[in-house]
Amino acid sequence: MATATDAAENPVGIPQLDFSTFPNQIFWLIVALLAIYIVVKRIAIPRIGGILEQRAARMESDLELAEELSKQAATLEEESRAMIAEAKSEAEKISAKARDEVRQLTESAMDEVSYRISGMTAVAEARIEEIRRNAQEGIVEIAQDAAYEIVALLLPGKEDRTAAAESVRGQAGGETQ
Amino acid sequence: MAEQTEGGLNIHPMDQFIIVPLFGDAPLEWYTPTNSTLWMAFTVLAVTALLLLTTMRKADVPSRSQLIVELIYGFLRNMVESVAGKDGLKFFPYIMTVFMFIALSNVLGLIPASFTATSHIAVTAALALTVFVSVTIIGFVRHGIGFLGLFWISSAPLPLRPVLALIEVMSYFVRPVSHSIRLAGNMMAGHAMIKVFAGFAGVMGIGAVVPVVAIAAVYGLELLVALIQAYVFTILTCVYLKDALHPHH
Repeated sequence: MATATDAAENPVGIPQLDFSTFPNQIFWLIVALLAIYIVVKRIAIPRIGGILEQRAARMESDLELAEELSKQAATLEEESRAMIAEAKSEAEKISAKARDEVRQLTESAMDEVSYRISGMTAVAEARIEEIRRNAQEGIVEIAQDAAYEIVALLLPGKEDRTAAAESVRGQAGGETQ
Repeated sequence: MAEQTEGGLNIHPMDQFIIVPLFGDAPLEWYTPTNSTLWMAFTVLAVTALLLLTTMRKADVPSRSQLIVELIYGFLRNMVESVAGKDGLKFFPYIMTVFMFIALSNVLGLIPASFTATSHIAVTAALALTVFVSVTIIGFVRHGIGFLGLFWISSAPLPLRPVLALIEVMSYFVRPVSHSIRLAGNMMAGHAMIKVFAGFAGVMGIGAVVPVVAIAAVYGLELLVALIQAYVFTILTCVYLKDALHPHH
């Protein structure tokens, strides 16, 4: 067996070609490779593979969620748009109806008012007519009485009620007609 | 380090590769822990730490270190799948083991005064022969005698085929040699070169600036080579595995 010191004085001069160290190196190489193999196969590869798989799964589920949410947002937007449109048409309908009602109310109120006004005018005209007639009749009576009294004063004994009345009526009728 | 002889350069660039027992001067047995064993153990610890400590949190949003491990994993897995095919993924754990061992052994070997296990032909030859033997067995188990179709180039003109078959068989058996010597040679040459420059620096006085700068440059290059050689070893393993799984391509 060559030792380390005489490896340097080996006639070959290259420690790599010192075949006496080969079994030793190969034995320890096998040990080292087995240790690494166990670590790699049993722990590292499953763990890293798991990490990558978990990441891929998470990305996929996140993307799915995002897609679903954006779909939901789109439907909500559509719904809200439809609701707005509906509300707008509803509002238009309501305002048109309100305008119609107001116009109808105004018209009927105007009708009523003008009807009432015409009624009141008629009543007032009738009263005015009556008052005038009464007044006329009162004047005639007073004039007849006055005529009678005057005749009685001027010509006592010659007074005549009917004659006085007729004369006054004739004057008044000529005047008034 | 050997003692200086009087005058001239006395550089021992190969001394760094000498295997010495860790404890005592007992003769080297197959089970004796050596400096090579020690640095293989460091490699195992480094691989374990790199793979397991960084992935402890199992975070959906990875930290930088976790991202590095994830990238290594993805890179290797993708390489196995694209080179050797889907059925090659069965061997992914072993390929990842080999890559992690070689890469970290190479990188740890760049620490000054450390030892590079992968600079020894014994180690790389064992790795390469493992690949060679298992690939050959896989080929024959999967395809029986049809595996020999790998050497029979059916797209070549018939008279040429025996000649090509001879060349193919030779190249097939040369594979483990080139596979192992490429890695060990690269590691050995780089380290020896740094050592030679360091030896120059020791005797050049103020002029040592030149070799020191050269060492820094070579060191950067060696860092690159350390990772590239791990990659090359691994991708060649995948290519050989592809030949075993799909010999008729």
